[in-house]
Amino acid sequence: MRAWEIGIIGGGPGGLMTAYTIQKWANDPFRITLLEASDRLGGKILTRQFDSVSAHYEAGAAEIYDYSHMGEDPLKELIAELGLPIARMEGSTAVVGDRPLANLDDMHDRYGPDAVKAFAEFNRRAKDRITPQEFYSPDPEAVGDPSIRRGFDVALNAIPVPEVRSYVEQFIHSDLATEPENTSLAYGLQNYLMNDHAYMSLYGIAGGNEALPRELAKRLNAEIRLRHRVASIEKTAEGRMAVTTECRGSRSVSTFDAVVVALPNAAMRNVVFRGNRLASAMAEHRAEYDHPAHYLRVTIAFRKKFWHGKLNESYCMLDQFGGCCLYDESSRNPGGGYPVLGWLIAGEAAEALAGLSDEQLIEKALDSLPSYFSHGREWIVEGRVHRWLDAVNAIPGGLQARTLDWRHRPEPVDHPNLFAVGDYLFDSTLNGVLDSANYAAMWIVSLLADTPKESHDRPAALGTPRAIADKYRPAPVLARR
Amino acid sequence: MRYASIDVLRTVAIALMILVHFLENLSGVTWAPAGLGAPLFAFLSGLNIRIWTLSLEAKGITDEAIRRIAVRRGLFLFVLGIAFNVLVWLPSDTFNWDVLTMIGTAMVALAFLRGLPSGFLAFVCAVVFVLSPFLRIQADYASHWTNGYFESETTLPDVLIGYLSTGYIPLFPWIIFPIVGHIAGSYLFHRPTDGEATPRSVRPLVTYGVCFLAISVFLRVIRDALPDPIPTKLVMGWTMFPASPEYVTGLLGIALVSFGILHVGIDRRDCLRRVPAILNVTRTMSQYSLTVYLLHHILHLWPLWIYGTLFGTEATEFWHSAMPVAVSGPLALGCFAACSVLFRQMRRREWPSVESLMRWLCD
Amino acid sequence: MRLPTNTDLPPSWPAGSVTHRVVYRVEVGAAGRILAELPFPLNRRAIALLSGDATPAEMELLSVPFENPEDAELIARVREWIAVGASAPQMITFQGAQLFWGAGRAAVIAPQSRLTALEVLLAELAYFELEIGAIEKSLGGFWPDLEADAGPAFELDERTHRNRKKLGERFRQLLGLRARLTRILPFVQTPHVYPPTLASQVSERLRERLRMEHRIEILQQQLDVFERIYDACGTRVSEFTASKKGHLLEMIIIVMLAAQTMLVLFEVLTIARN
Repeated sequence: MRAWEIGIIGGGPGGLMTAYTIQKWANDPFRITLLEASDRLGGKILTRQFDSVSAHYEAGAAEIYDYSHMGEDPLKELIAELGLPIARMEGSTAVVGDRPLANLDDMHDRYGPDAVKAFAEFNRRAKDRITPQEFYSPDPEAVGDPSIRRGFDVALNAIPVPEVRSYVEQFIHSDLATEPENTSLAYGLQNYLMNDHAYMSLYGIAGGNEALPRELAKRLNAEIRLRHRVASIEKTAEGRMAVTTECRGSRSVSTFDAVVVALPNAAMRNVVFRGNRLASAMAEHRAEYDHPAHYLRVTIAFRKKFWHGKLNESYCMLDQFGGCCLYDESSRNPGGGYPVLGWLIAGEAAEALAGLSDEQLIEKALDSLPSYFSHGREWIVEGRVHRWLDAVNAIPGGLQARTLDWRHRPEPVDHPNLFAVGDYLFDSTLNGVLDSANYAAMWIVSLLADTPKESHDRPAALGTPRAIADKYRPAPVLARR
Repeated sequence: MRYASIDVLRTVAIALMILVHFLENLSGVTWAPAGLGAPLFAFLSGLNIRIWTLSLEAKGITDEAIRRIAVRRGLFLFVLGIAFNVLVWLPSDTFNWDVLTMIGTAMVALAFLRGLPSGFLAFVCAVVFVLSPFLRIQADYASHWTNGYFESETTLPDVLIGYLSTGYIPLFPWIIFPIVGHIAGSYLFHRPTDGEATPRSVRPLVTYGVCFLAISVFLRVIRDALPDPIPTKLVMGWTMFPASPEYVTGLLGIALVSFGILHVGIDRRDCLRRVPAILNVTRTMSQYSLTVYLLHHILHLWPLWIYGTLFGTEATEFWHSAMPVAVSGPLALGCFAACSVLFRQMRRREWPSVESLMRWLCD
Repeated sequence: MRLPTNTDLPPSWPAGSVTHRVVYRVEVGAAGRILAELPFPLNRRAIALLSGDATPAEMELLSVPFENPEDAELIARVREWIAVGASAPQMITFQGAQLFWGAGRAAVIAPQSRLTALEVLLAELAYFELEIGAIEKSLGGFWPDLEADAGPAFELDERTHRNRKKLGERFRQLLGLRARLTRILPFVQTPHVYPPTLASQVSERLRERLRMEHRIEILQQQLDVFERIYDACGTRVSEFTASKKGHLLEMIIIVMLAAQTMLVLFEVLTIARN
């Protein structure tokens, strides 16, 4: 009985989660080879350490979304399964016009009762549009109202008070990672409603989010090849998939029974998909999701926690850079940690500022602090910058959601064993990438179980991997749209 | 826990018993209070069973253990009663069925029935009360008595009938007295765990006692107007042998009323605190009541039998005619006083007694 | 009606500072003024006692109107006030308010416009805290009897049947505690409010700091244990009583049969004798 060879391209969360799920559920022999172009695993989940002080910070994915109060939350279950402790994250304050605005009372004092009324009305409309159950539904196409696919700017423009409009836009800008007109109403509202615990709450992994890919990698029984950039993918004459990789100048070809492309949408353009059909399908696939969004992470360690008493939550919003999230990185660590602040700059501002040097960006970050924090400069120890251009994808308005089949198997006719996995196929979150990984992985498990050694007539026993895979297996694709 | 009222009442019963027995057995005189001692004694024995079992429960002894001890004590009294008949009276009187065998039987019965509601026990007493005259009729009571004395043959039917209905102190109806005593004790001496802080009123006891007395008087009054054979067979007037309905109800009434009044006066209001000597004497006599019962019989009967054997034709030659009342009366008082002194010494020096023998054998 | 005055506060305190001695009652009576109306099902009012009223207060609330709640000297004085009798007072900083919490005492420094809402909130929360504390204390008193009462929960005998009133009383008291706990549950477990107000933020934070939800969960679990035992005791008592009544009827029948047997026996014995 020959073991199936499975190639996973991309050592980020998508690739690792796919490999982990296959390993967990497959009941037939297989071998996984994980190909990663860089020298590390984890992709956008990146926890870094300062050079001069013993402090770590999140340089990539900032927080994880918690849906467990609504129903199944596979990512939270996975984190618990890996034994990783979590730290809750909360933040309700926005600094607007150099003054904090933490609640409706502040809004009332600052802008008057009409503003409060306008904000409450926007809030009510948002909740009418998307209920917590609809928010929990992973597929935007499940949201019943077709107008939900319009641009989010439409909803913002309906707010009569300009200050409130500006407040809402800035409050969610760092989550949107793009401008309101570039994303759908559904996506915009979701990023607004995520601040309400009835819809979702946030958490991080205590000690650093990178513990997640690290733990996954530890448990993998797979061949992991770092610094192996995938140059091309094509189908062989025998019907298998040949993957050409480059490592330190030399090329090698590996063939696999199934290949999972777990790369960011932007990174896929560096891979050549050979064969007209495949190339065309992958081009269409990339184009479908080519709505790049950008992030800049500026993180600064200080000698003193000068924001203590003023910033008492895990993060707050600044009205700088079009709306930027300021994290108290030390709040992620139980018992507190070294004083570290992190800026998450998103969208056009991130793209515009990406060209500046690290020192310039650090200076800009310090300038963005409210005046009552300006004295913090005297305590700066070290600053770091991470650029994530084209790293995520926004969901533009009017975008028709594709079937899950289509998303994960771009070319099912001649290349049925080539899969795509990524957060961009869902909602650009870690939760989304796990959903994507699980979908593809269970499909592969099902294929694995159906290889010729198995009897096709024998139904799978309840609870076995094949039965579970059969549950996830989609209906056959009769025709491409 | 000791109750002085019970001690006083028991001492009264003992005193009456000694006096009646001395006067009757030595001088042949039937004194008016004859017939008061035995029922009072039986009533108090039922009351005592209740108090005694309560004290065992307070010590944490299980119900099962209490039952076993009570059965053993009951059997001890029963066997003692038989032995008493043989050794103190005469072998021919073995199955006379006196008060000890009845109280022993009552103790065994109450060992099993004590947990039942008082209402049910009262029902049992009522059934016994109603059944007794009919059993006597069925057994032909008069045929078991000759010249005012119980005589039966040593055959199984006679023994059983005597035990149940025709003997001196048969079960039917005498077992009513200890059971009613137990019911009165259940009412008055409730368990501390029941949560009732204040002592219960004795008024219901006294009321029932008065009712019983009234019934007794009523039966006595209407007896002459009743048609035959009711006055001869059922409502027979105030008789101890057999224990007529008037006698039973009357003595129950006297027991309940006297105990109720004494309990309030002596136990709750401490009326005798100024005369501790009385309390001491009554306590001593009450503590050694069983020993007194046996001893006083030995003291006046054995000399009678010995004298009769030596100076007469048979042991019972001088029974009822040994001496005049002027002698037997003071002798009775002297016996009472001597017992009182003796038992005080016994208690002080912890000499063995019939009670200690019972405890040693049965507990 | 005289309003409460800061008779125990020196004049150096900011103008308008006041200490409220608070009790929780159904009716105001002549006791004082209503500081807060607790939610309807609780049927209670937080009443600020009048000066000179010797009624022991259930909690004390210091209210300091001040534009700058972060004034260090003022904070230190409030800490000193709240720490009397308390072990380690908690201080919670909010945008536009400072709150202090100790055993039986609470304090707030905030601008006048926000003070009233915070006073009401603190009075409410103090009531919940008092209720939870009282239930914890009452429940603690039941533990020593629990072991003894666990036996009757499985099997009852005559002696433990006599204690049924006491068992019943304990069960009733436990149900009362459960009712008290359930009554405040909706307000303690009230979900996160969004968009938040200052009061809702304070409420959430304080409830979290005081571990109210956690304590309630523990109390519920403990009450489950107690209720299970006493419920079982109740079932056993009912069964025992029913069987006793049944036995009683049987005993009455047995007595009647015994009486009949006695008559028949006597008939046989007399025939045998004759």
